[in-house]
Amino acid sequence: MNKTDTTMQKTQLIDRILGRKAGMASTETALPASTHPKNRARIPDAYTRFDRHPGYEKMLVPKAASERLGIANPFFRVHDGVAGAITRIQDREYINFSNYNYLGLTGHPAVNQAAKAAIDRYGTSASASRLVAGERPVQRKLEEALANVYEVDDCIVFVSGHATNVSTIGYLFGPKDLVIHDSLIHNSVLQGIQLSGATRRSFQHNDTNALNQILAEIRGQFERVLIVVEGLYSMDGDICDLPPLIEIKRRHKAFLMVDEAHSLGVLGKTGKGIREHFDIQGKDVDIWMGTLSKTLAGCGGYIAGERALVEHLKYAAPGFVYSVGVAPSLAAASLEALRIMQKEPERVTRLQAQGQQFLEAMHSLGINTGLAQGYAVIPAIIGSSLKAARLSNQFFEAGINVQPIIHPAVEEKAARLRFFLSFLHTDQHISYTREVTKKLMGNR
Amino acid sequence: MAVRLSLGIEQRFRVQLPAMLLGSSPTVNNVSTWIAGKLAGHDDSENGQSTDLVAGFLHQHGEELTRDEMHALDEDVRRLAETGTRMIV
Ligand SMILES: Cc1ncc(COP(=O)(O)O)c(C=O)c1O
Repeated sequence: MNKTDTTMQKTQLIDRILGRKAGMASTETALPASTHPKNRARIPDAYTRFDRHPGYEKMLVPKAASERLGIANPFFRVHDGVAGAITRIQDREYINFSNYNYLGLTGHPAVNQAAKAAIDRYGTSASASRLVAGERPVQRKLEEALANVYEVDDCIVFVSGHATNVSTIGYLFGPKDLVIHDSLIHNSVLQGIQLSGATRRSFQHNDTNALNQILAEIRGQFERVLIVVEGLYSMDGDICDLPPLIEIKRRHKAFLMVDEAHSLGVLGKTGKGIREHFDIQGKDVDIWMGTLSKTLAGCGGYIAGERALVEHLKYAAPGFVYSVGVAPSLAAASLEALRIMQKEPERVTRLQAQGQQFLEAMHSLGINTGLAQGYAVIPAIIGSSLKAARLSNQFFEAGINVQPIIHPAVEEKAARLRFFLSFLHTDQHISYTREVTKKLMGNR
Repeated sequence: MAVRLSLGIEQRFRVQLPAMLLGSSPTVNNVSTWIAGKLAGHDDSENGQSTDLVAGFLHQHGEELTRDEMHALDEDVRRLAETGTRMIV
């Protein structure tokens, strides 16, 4: 190989790396200047067909593999009723570990009643953005109640938890800023960072020393800096170490955002999340994020924090300004769910006990539960995605619904079955699940 | 540095490293596993794109298949691409 060859290859390689990295941003300039027939003929077929989209073509591989190996598709199963500790799928009852009904409030009569009353009063849609179509009192009440949970000024509710992260981070930060996140952070945060144009860095999962070190090195290069972590990690079931994170964000003059999607109702003596778990002031975290879809039995997401943050987002965050307000029925359901959570802390206590019991049951069988700490999310790490899918089907045959989680939702080769505990699970559900697990996975 | 390294790897092993692998946080471990997987697979490049898809899938999802199984899977993928399919029923 001679010298010019190498130089050329080098350039090509650099182009390839840069080309992929620049990704979406460069497509505009890559478009052909004219649609002259000669240029049209040069446009590959694959660019004009959805069935030739690289993402779609990639999906054909697991499809083919599962057909070849006779593994039924474990995704998109159709449930016939409220999914709690038990669910009905195709006329059969299953013990259910695939839902976020942490405190058993989805399907709770009082929550249903609150939603029905809101429908009778306001109908089923808020029709447009709250900015222009106006407020329904129940939307404000929910925001006030959530702000109270964190003992902060105010709160804004969006129509989706995912959109909450995308829009908040995407709007508040820009190209001169840095967003640094835990390596296991949820996709919605990554999408928000991408949208913002900020520099993105990640630090090794839960390694606050690494975070501190990175910030010590590069903090000075940026204007605003945001650190993002989760209270309870949704794929792994471990929690963040909040006190040192607060110290670090102060030391480096950064903002701290905590995604409480899975912590509300799960962590802390009365379910107020990671803040209560560590006995920390709400004001010590700059941005509290959470969702209505899990403990709160609804659909939507929220940001709680100081007034300047919340009111700014209400006038400017695209996902709020240019999107419909949360449906009154959903706001009412979540508000009632929050009330019940606070009125009946024994639900939280029981869920925490169930989590510990489940974790111990898995450990007694030698199951690899990864980082799980026994808080409602407990994975059984398998590795191979096909094995995880096959196991999920075997559990299903034995009357247990538990979903496989595979790449890209988790890191490569880290497929797992993910068990979500609910307040509604009984001791019998857990002991039966232990028996089945022993039979299916006992000698691994 | 990344460029020199990948160029070296590409020349030495005759495999094209995906930019993704280098873009995120490459470790000696995951780059070498990737190369090993690639070499253990097959290098009949006339098989082209779907072979890469299959190899990529097996790598990312921690699957171990024999050469024959990989070839068969490759055929299946090609067939699905031709006939079209449904993924949600
Ligand atoms: C950590 C985390 N953040 C955000 C979300 C998005 O919430 P939602 O599903 O309510 O849109 C989820 C759940 O999917 C999550 O696990």
